[in-house]
Amino acid sequence: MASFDPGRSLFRRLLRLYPRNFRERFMEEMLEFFREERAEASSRGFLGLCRFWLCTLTDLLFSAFRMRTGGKPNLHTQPRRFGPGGAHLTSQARRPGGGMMLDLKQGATSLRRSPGFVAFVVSTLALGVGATTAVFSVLDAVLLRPLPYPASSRMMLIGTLIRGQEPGGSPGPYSSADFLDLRADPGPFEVLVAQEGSRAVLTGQGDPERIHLARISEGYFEMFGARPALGRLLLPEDDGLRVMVLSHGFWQDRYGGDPSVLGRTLTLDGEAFQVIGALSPEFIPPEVLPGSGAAAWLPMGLSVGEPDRSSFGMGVVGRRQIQSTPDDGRAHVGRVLSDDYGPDKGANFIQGSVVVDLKEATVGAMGRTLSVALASVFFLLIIGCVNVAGLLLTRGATRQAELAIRSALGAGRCRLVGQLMGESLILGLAGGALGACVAYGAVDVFRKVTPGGLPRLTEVTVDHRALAFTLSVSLAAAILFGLVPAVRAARSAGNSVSGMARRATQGQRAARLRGALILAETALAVILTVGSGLMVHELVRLTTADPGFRPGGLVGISFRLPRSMEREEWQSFYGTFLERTQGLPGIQSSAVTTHLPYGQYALVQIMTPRDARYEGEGAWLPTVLVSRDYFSTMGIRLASGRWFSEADLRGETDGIIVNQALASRYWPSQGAIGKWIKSGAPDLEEDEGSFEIVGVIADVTAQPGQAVPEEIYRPYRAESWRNMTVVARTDPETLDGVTAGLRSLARESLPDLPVTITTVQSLFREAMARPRFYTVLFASFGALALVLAAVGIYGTTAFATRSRTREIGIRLALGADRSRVIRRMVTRSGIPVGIGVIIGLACAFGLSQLLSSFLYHVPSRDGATYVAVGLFVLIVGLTAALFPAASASRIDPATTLREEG
Amino acid sequence: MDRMTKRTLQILLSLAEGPLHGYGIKQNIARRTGGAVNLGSGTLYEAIQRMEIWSWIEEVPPPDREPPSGGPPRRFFALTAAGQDALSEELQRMDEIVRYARGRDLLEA
Repeated sequence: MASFDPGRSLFRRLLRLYPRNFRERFMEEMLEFFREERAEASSRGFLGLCRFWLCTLTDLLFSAFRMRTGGKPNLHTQPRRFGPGGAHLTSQARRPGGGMMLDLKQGATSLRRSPGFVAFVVSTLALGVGATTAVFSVLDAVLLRPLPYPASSRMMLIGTLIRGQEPGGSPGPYSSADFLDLRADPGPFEVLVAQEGSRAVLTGQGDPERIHLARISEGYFEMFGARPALGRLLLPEDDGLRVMVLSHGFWQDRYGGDPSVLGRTLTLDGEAFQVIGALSPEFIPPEVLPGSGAAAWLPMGLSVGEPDRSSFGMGVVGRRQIQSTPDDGRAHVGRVLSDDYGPDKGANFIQGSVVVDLKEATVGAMGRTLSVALASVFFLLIIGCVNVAGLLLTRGATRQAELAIRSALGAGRCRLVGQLMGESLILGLAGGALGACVAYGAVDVFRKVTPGGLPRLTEVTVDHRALAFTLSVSLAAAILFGLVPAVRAARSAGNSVSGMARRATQGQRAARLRGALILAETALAVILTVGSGLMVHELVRLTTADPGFRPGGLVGISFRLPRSMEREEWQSFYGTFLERTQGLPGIQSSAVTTHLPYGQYALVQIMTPRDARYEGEGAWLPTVLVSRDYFSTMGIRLASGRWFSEADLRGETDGIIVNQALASRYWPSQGAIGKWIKSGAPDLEEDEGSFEIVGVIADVTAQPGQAVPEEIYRPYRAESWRNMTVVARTDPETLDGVTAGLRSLARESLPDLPVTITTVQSLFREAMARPRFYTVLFASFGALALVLAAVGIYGTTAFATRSRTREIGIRLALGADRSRVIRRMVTRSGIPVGIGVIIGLACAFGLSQLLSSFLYHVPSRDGATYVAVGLFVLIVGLTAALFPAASASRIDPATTLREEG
Repeated sequence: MDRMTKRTLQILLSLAEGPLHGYGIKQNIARRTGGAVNLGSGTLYEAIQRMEIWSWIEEVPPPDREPPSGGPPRRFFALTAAGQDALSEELQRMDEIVRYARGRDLLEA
């Protein structure tokens, strides 16, 4: 069968608009018609295809509409008379029960006479409705829908509160002993499972490959409703055995979905594991647990190993019993943990427990970002509606004669409002239908360009919920943009028959309304543009900020050495490798480290600074192990004190280097040089050693836009650490050659080992991907808002100018200066634009304070951005008003007077 | 006498040449009018249903030269006697108008 065809399925869905009997008879035929016509259109290129879609959708909507409303009673007689719209109106208008269908029918008839107007309105609405639907789809999938597990609303993520961590943060990791304690006394939890993540090198078939593993406790797959696509999943009796279940993705990518992989033995880190099954593609592992992106799932082996209370790396999820509350769960976990870590138990790192709803933990801060995004697209939609309202107002004015005649022939005000609303409704629905197509495309693009780490992205689709949302938004939009112009037009139609006396006041009223529309859309555009301007400014600041080192030309090669290697072996390996890199052409200097900026810290330890502010308090501090040339290779500056001495480097002294963030936090006034930091918690006996600060370096950015953590640097030979990175400095031009050199050197040294080579700049780009993505997203909202507002101001001014042609003609004939005429016309639109800018800036200031607390570090008091945006929108608005005014000033007075007279 | 819509007339004209399916009608009309009349699927089948109710056209079994499209079998439509009458009546009427116009030198011969 043919593969999924979104266009065809959309067409099929739209066919539901037709009456059932018609659909049953002709659906297959129409689908075939659609297929052939589209094939023909696509042979004429992209534009041909666009034209095809526009024609097809319009045709579908209009014909479906006619069928639903069209004169069924006439069908059996002879062809209806398609007279001019107005003639048969009054008789039908008086017929009781004509009602809404009649309104829609007349609306459709009159809209067909102005295709350009329809195209403009429908595409404006489609853009607004489409963007809104797309963002809603994402929000729905991420925030509103429950997690895809049975009874997921009762699932809670259970973790520890680690000393030094802010309460209310995310749950910290669990130890296996604590998990077993909790499982032995589950309290309100009916099921408890744990997961650990790790990595291993897969060898034996093809190139060695480093893969992610997840180790899980029994009952895990049952709890999350996972099913096998091949073989079986893990059973309780598998615990402790060397068996594994492959993830669906890994099974497909690495083995092409080959079923014969079942029963095969794979080698992970030198140990053999048997494949007993593969997961079905529907299973989406809980993203907050460590190792959720694993290629293979292994039993945790809790029943065979010793419970361990010193190593923390587990994520724990529990499902509450139906009658229990989240607070019951929280209280119980706290009680069980305090049995082991209570105040009477001596020194420890665990201060308490953190238990949160699993969905809340998964979605996290995304909820706020998405709400802001939804609000932004709603603003866009409102600007679009204001534009359309302006256009309808114009249209109502140009149709005054037609409406007046209808009114004179007996159509009441309600009838006229009804017909005009019918038009709006059709426009709204057509815009909504096209908007649904826009949303399909936008969601698709969104899923492709979003940087990793966005929760629940795989679940995002435009489904019936989103389409229901589209429908209600379209209807609401129709009412929003249609009602005021309709009422106005109908009222003035009623008046204008009785004479032209009130024309002057009506003109004033219309001008006021137009001014209000311009003001509203300017203010909204300013709000959106300020929001995106603040984000762009922040992004520029982040990109150009001094990172505290020279990032250009740095390349890192990371090793994960086999577990079989002893400490002396790997120390000599790094020593030799470092020496050999210095012989490579193009390398200026190189060093060993456990951490590169924009990456993760390998080592975080609890430390207690002495004779310091916060005396007697310990903190989790990242420790970076480095070789001698690390600082010079990175281009890091010394702020005070000295670099490591040879004795420090050999591990004979306790000298350490800290960064300025640490120094100024603990010794703000007296300086950190010569001060001591004790390893371990404050209440621990002095057996783990103390370190003396010999140097303070300038802060190095760890993550863009975030405060620099307090760091400790120690010589790498003083501490044992297996997995490190060799970083080398070269000229940016020779980077490629050096990368290749490093790779072949690594292959020579350890042939069976996968290595990761990255440049520091690519780490930076990765770290910036998310802020950049959000900035681009919101900047495009801002740009779109600006364009829409400019179009609206242009249209409104152009109409106002046209309706004053006679006045301008008279002025010019009387000898008025052309530039004065232009100035007068521009001022008319300029005043509401100016007020709109001021109101918009004020609202933006209020909202941005909200924004900065919500979203990614956005400074709300960024005066330059406000001034720039205000001026920019003012200029755009005045320019949009200038064009029609300038063309008005070229009016030939004689012609206009003759025409109007 | 009610006037016939342009669309109806065009469809009748196409079917006068022989039975056609929906897309065939569209192509025939587009070719004959040089693309000036381009019917969408909705409008076309709407008109077909209406003309079936008036018994101007009827569904007929597909001819033997069914194209090898591989798609589902198509519905073919042909003119009924009433359809023929309606078409010739309309053409007659138009012809009268044209002759009148020529007689008054409104239209070049």
